[in-house]
Amino acid sequence: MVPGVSYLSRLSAAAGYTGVAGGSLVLMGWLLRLPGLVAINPVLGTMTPETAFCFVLTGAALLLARPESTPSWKHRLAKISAGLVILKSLLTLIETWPGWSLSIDQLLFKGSVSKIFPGRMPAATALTLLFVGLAVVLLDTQARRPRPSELLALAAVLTVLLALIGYGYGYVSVFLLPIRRPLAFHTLLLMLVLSFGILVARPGQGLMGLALSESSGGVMVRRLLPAALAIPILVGWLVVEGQRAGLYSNVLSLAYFALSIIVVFGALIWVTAGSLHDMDNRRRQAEAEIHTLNEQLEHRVLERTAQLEAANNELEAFSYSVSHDLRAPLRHIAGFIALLERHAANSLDDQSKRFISIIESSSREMGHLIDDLLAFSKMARVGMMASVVDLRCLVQQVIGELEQSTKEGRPTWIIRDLLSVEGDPAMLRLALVNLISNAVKFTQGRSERRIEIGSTDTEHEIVFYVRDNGVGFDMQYAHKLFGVFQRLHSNQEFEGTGIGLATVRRIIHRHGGRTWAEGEPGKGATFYCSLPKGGQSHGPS
Amino acid sequence: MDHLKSILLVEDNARDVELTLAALLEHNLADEVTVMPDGAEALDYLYCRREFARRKRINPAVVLLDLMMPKVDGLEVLRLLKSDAQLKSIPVVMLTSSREETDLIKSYELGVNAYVVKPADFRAFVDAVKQVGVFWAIPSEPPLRSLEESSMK
Repeated sequence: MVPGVSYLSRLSAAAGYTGVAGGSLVLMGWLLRLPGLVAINPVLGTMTPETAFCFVLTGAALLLARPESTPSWKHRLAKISAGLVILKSLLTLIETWPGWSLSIDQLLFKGSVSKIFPGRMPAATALTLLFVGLAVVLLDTQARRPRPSELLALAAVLTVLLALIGYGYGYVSVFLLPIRRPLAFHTLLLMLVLSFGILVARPGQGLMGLALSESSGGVMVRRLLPAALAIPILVGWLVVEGQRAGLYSNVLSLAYFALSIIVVFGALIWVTAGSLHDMDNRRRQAEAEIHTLNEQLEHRVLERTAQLEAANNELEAFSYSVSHDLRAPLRHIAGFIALLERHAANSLDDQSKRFISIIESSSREMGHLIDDLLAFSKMARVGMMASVVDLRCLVQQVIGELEQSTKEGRPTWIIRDLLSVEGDPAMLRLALVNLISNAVKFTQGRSERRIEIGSTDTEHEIVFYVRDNGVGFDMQYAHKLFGVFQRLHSNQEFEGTGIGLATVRRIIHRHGGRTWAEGEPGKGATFYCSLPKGGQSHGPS
Repeated sequence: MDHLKSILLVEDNARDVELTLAALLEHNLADEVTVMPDGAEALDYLYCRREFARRKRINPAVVLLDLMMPKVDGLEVLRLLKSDAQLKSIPVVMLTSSREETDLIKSYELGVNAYVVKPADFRAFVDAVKQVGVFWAIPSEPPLRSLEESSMK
């Protein structure tokens, strides 16, 4: 909130209290017959009891309507209060019409206070009160600048200002409408205070919002407005006084007035334009700086992207050569061991044969390792294809393939609800192959092997799981499960490379999902993967 | 198997050559195997030029082509063979260590007849070589359908 906002808000409240207090004092004056309260000075006019009452109502309405976030009953009460003011002022205006008399002026008080009679509310007062009442009622009616309420409050301020300037220039009877009585001075003051209070009751919006804003528009309003108020009044007074002293004639005095206004406003406009110009220049300079910074940033992004691409290409080349060159010697080892076995089959003792078989199985293992590592690194590099994947269909395919290659007794498959998800079909397939083949592997040797696959649907994600009744694991090692080369079982127990679950995790992460596992030694394990709905996917990581 | 036509093996690695020959021998497919150590020489051989200028121009029954070779690599040899009117009828089998999909896709785009990833396991390799040999080295008119469907990968 702009600091000025809370200040104006407090000012508006003060105006409300002043209205209530001032009106009450005058009413008290009428009640207790205190002439000093009814009229400050008989020359300066008297405030009628209706006017005083209207001020109390208006002040109360302003106080009730002022905070924007009060309960609505307060706002409703404010509108009723202001409505009464409108009604009263309208009736008075009708009465002012020649030949109409409703005699409501006798309603509150009859008689006089030391020969001061209440009399009728002056028409100018009624008109101003009508503006003020409407302004309160329309306080929260929104429109483009200016808001209707501001416009009405301004009309009231200007009306009062005219009368006040008249007072200041020594001309007591300033009339707006055909009225027979001057406005009382304290009526004018209270009216000015109240209409100003209404004008600033919503300091964040409309004209006040503009006046308080940090923009060059706001600066201009704050610079010029006080001068626009004060200078013509002052100059006008000088001219009037000069005329009165006989220094110059009527026409010449107007010329003086016009000239001095021209000089003062010309200077003011020039000074303000100068500071706005500076502001503009500073802003343009800042914009230019931002532009340069943006360009630098873009350049840097391009540079980084190029570096990343280069790194990615290097990684690609690396894994390509691993794929080629690391496999070749391995193949040679395996190949020549097989040839050796054949050549020397008869001359080798059992121990040597055992060594040969160890070399064979080690090289096979190494081959799997290389394949798995390559697949793992590939999962980070390749681009993703997003499509709708039918998990049920995919799971059935994977099971079909695995059953072909498993020699041991088939597990019992329990396929629960499987939903369609969004993702890369090849990647999700690899994840499922890893999860399901793990389940098959770790249920080996169980008398009754059960593998359950299903999915659940939550608000933001779809979770699928693979549950088995295999060897399970200790939950204290759960965090290690998805790491590269992390194995919870020895190679003798279960063969494997320790990359499968890491690959699963990488695939699921790239889909924007999570992986976790639950298990108990000897009871089985459940592996969960979540995939976000709406397919948020991550680029190569 | 009355008469075997020759096989051209293009392979830079002597050990791979030996293993491939052993595999071919196992199935008596190696009646006549010509080995070229790189793509450049293989092309010279096929076009009967330079040191092979005097060779009688008979196309081999099948070319077994390694992918990664010095000078001219397998893909380049394949491209040249398949764009030559006289040579493009020779079946070409890619023998490679790489499982990289890009190599496979490129090879098929260039018109390779079969693609064999040399398995680390020697037995599997022998089986793969046998299939290739039986398929193409037998003298009867070689069927021109691709080996893609016969699960050789």
